[in-house]
Formats: sequence, C-alpha cells, structure tokens
Amino acid sequence: MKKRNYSLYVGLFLISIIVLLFVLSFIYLPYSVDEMDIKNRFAPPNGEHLLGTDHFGRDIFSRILVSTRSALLVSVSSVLIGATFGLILGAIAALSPIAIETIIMRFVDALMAFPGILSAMMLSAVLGKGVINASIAISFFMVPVFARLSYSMILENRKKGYVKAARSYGASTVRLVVFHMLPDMFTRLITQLSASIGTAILTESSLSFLGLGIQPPGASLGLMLSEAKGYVLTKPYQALCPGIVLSIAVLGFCMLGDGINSYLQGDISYE
Amino acid sequence: MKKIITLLLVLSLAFSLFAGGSAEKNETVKKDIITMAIPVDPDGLDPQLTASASTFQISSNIYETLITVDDKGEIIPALASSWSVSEDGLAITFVLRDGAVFSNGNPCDSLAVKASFDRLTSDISVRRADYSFITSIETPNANTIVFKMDKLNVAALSSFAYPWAAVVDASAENLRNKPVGTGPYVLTSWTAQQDLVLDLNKDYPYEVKNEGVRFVIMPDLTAEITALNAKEVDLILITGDLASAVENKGYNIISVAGNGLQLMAMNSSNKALSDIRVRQAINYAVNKDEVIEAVWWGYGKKIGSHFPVVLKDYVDYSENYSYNPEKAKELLAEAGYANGLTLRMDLPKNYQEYVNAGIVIAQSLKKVGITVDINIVEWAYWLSEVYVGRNYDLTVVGHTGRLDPYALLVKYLSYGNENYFNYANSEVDALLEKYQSELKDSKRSEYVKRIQEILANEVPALYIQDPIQIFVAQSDIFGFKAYPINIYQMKEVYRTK
Repeated sequence: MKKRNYSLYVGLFLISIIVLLFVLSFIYLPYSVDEMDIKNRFAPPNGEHLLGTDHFGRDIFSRILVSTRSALLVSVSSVLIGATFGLILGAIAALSPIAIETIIMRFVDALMAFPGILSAMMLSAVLGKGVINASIAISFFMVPVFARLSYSMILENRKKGYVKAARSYGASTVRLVVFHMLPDMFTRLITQLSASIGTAILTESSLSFLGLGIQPPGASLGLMLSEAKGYVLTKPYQALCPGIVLSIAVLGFCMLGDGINSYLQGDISYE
Repeated sequence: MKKIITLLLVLSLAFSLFAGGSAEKNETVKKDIITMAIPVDPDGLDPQLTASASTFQISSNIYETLITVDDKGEIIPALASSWSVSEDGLAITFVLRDGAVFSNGNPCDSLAVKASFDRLTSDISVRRADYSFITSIETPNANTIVFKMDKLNVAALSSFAYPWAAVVDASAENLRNKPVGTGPYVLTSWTAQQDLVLDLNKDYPYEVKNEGVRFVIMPDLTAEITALNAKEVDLILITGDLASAVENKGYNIISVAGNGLQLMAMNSSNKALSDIRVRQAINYAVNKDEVIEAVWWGYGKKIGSHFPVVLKDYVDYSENYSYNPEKAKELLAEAGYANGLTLRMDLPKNYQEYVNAGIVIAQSLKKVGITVDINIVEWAYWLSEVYVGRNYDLTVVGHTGRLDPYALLVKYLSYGNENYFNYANSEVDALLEKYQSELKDSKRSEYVKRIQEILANEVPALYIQDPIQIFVAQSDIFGFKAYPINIYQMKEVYRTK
C-alpha cells in the first residue's frame, strides 16, 4: 500500500512559487525597491500596486520580488559553502587517527552548542553588517550539521561489504569516500540540504529583522517585517505579505526535504 | 427549565450588584478630578535624584521652583514672588512669597530654600554640575535668598526654572516615595505600574482649577487611545502616526511645537561636505515637507536654522533653501561632483523616527546623484563614534531645547566639545563669546538672531523640523498647555459642565 507523497508535491509547489518570484524579479520589476510615494502610503492592493504600498509608499510587490533574491541567494550559497566545509571536515575526522578525530569532533560539538542564530549574530557583529557577512555567518553555523552527517555516515559505511570490496581492489581513501560512500549518503545529504536551506532563509530574515543583514533602503523579508512591526496595530496588512512569503519559502524547503527523503527511501522517515 | 430561570435570576442579581457597586463608586469620585495617562512610572519623585522626564512631569505639580516659565518661555514668579539680578550680574536675589509652608507643615523660609540648594549641589544630586556656578548662598532674612557667583553666566537665572531646581524639604526622609513640596498638589497614593493620585495642597495660595489629578500608567499607546474612547482617561499624549485614530471624534487635540529640533548633521571635516555648495545642494535636494509627512505624519514645524520655533528669538528661515533638485544638481556640478558623490549615513537604531527620516532623505539625495550608504548603529556606538568621535559623514538626530539659547548654539563653537559638526566660523565664535558676557537682553537677542542667520545660510546641517507634541483631551477638558521645558502644569486643567 503506497501512500501518496504529499510532502514532496506540496514542497515542490511552494518552492516553485518562490523560484517564480525570484526569476520574475530579474525580468520584471514594477517599481524600484526604494522608490517612495509618500502621498500614496499604506495603499491597499490595487491596479497600480499589486500588493499595496508600505509606510513610505514603496511598492510591496516589488520589494517582495527583490527580497526573494537575497533569501534564495544567501541561503543556497551559504548552505552549499557550509555543507562543503562540513562534509570535508567530517570525512577527515572519520578517517583520521583517534586523537585528530577527537579534536575535530569536539570542536564541531562546541560549534553545535551555540544556537545557530546566536553564532550568526556574533559573527555578524564581528565581521560587520551586510549580505556577504550574513552569508558567511550562516555558512559557519551550517558546518557542524554537515560535519556530523558525513562523520557518522562514513563510520557506518566503513564496515559495509562494498567498501571492503573497493578497498581490496586498492582504491584510495579519497576515491573511496568520493565515488563510493558519497553516493550512498546522497539521500540523507539531499534531505539535510533542503531542510538547511529552509533554516538558512529563516536565519537570513532574522538577521535582517535585527538589523544585521540587508541594510535599508534595500529589501529583505526580515527587514520588511521589521519595518512593518511599528504599524502592526494600525496597519497590520503591511506585515502580512512578507510574512506569508517567508512562511512559504521555509515550509517549502522543509517539506521538500522530507518529501525527497520519503521518495528515495520509500516510506521510512528519519524522525 | 426552572433551573435555568433560577440561574438567570441569580446572574441578573449579581450583575445588578456589580452595576450598583460601580455607580456608587463613580459618585464618590469628585466630579472634576483630572485623569491623565502616562507611559511609565516616574523614577521616584525626588527631582534632585534623577534625570528622568517622567519624574519631572509629575514632580512639577508637587514641588515649586523659585521661578518658572509660561508657555512662551517667559520667566514668571513661582515660590519666589520677585527677583532681581545685580548690576554686574554676579548675584541673584529672590524674595519668597509670604507664608510658604511645605506639605508636612514645615515652614519654607530662606533657610529651607538654602538647604534644598545645598542638597542640589551635593554629591547625591544628578544635576550638581549644572549648578556649580553658585559659589555661595546667603540668607539675609527669612524671606530673602541671594545666590552669588564669581563668573558671569547669563543662563544663571533660567537655570532656577528647571524642574530639578525645585525646592524640596531637605529635612524630610525618602522624598523619592514621599515627596514634600510647596506645590499645588500632595501625593496621596502611588501604586507602582498602576496609578498616582494627587490631592490638593490646602496651603497652596493660588488658584487650582480642579479637585485633584490621577496619573494612570499605560505603557501601550493603543491602550491609551482605547481608554480615552471609553472615557476612562481625560488626557493622553500620542505620536503622529496614531493621530488618525483620534481625529474627528470631538476630542480637544492640543498640538504644540515642542522645545527641540531634529536635523541631519553634515560633518564639515569630510572633504565634499566642507564645500558649502555641496551642503547647499543637499538642502535643495530634500523636500522637508515630504520628510515631515513621511516620518512624523505632518506633525512637525519646518525649520531652516538651529533654533526651536517656541523660543522667543526664533527667526523663520524655513524657506531659505526650498526644495529645488535642479538647483541642487547645478551646485553639485559646480563643486565638481557632477558624476556623483558617495556619503555614509549613520543612524541611531533605537530612534526609529531618525532612521526613517534618514531613509527618506537618502532617497531624495539619490535623485540628485548623491549615493548614501546607510549604516544603522547602536545608540552607544552613535554617542562614542558619531557624537564624540565625530567620525561620520551624515547623521540624523534630535536635540532638546533649553531655556537659554546658548546651550543650543554652543554646538557651533569651533573649539567647543559639542561641535560634532566640525563647523568653524569665526563670526559665530565671536558672537558666542560675546553672548556669554552680555548683560543686555536686546544685544543678546541680536547675537542669537545673527547666529541663526549664519547657520541658515551656511547650513552645517539639514535642519528638518521642530517636533510637534500631540496631546488629546476629552471634549470637556480645557486648559492643558505644553511648556518649553518638560513639565505638566495640571493646576491649569479644568473640566467644563
């Protein structure tokens, strides 16, 4: 009895909305993100402004389009960078003598002990504000997650028959990891990547909300929410759109990860 | 069925009891007690131990200063019925009004006033440095007190009007919680985070137009508006973005320009900004009306120089560089920045209005070819790096006014500590120096006006506005006024039939 994989479809659908907005932001932008029209502020959705305007009369739709750029670029790039470093670090630890292994993994544990947003904030404070530093900060706290993943997978696979077989043919350690173990890790890796992108989007927004990410007058979902919070009692609508888009993005990637996992693994879930 | 009827009966009985109870309570409340909502508890009610405005707004009703100001900023008698300044300006004599007593029954004679000022200049006082100009206090008789100084200080007289210079009973214990003054009211109860009740002081000789005051603590502005709508409070203070919630509802809206100003400072040590044409271009490029509308919802009075509109020597320069982006581009081209210019703007994070103003200004400057990199910083960083360190290009901030213009304008003294504009003009320096030792009022006003004119022309800053305070009162409440110093005079407030 095969259950339908709703997570995968819903996840794909939600992400396609975000990707569509992302692509659209390069093709068609109704207004510039910082173009103000004070007389027209807090306009409800209308023909001129698809999603209305904010407290400076800026077009919310345009700002959301541009926000998806930073949301996707920052999160995807930082997760990829963090994952690369994390996987290498975990593999080195798994294949090294016990002393080095202990040092690396305890260091990773120490990194893990910090809540992600806290270490990202700390790094942003040290490196300075802005998109690039926010990306570095996010990739930094992605490292331990992936390091642990590759470490545990390699330890687990080392004893498996195919690894022993490959080794008996004289395959080098690097070849063993890259060509034999990595494909075996693929399912878990892709699941982890997708879920991490969701987390990264949320972190990027949180940093911008706290004033450490994208700086005004730029646009980011977190910054838009932060700007709307002063009017949440009088003009709650302004916070609604960026909030919904943020939820779609985070939910989309998390559900996609879950969905891919079920798809590749059958019905077994890693819960 | 029977049970339901019984239940209904019991409920209605209970309800009527409650209703009766509250009606009775309303009858005991005197008709003309004025209720005002305030956002926070005062930081104690000892005016000498705090710098908090929340204290002075209330303590100014319990204590009296020797002299005070009217809503125009003119000095008027309070505890002192008259005063005189000596020829050389080095002694100020106050004559106390007859028969003044503290609310605990102690007489308030010249010795009590001296004790209060000794306390104000002692180590426990927050503002002691502001009164270090007093070298000795003499009490020739019970009604006369003389303050002597060894250096001329033209701001000396007005410094007796600030609420922290109020006369307190220095012999009383715990003034923070049990204030003892000579003012129109006495504190009868104070429930923290809830309310403060002030009753009339029987010994206060002048007219008080109500029967007492109750300050209710309401940290949330929307809650204040709800309470106003429900007639639970008579008077609230709101911000411009919420003004639409109280307009056209029959309320008395008292919106008055406060004693303060908001500006965008331009650091003259920056190469581009040291060129007057660039500074003028920036002034031409920004539509101040639009900034005021966008950030303060139109509740602001446009200014053109470093001077609040409420002070008496104010001259209107608000149209000096009225919005003209074409002219701005020309001036920039003349100054050699036809291909653009990049400036950094530091904005203090915890003042959302200044951040918003900065964003709107940056957008206007972009249109004339000036790129602004906005950098939002913590207040502590702003104070150390921008204000003290003077390491910035542009910044938006506000300044609160004092009664004497010198304290405002000294920011432009080229060698002064507070000159974070890095502005240097020898004429301004000379005028400020002369002002300090000028005894004639008319001369001093002439200097102040001339400095305003120079600043309005040379624009070391983009002077935006004098902020407007918006007080909202029930339709039957009158008499509330805003003063150039941060005090509330509740004795003037009354309810009509």
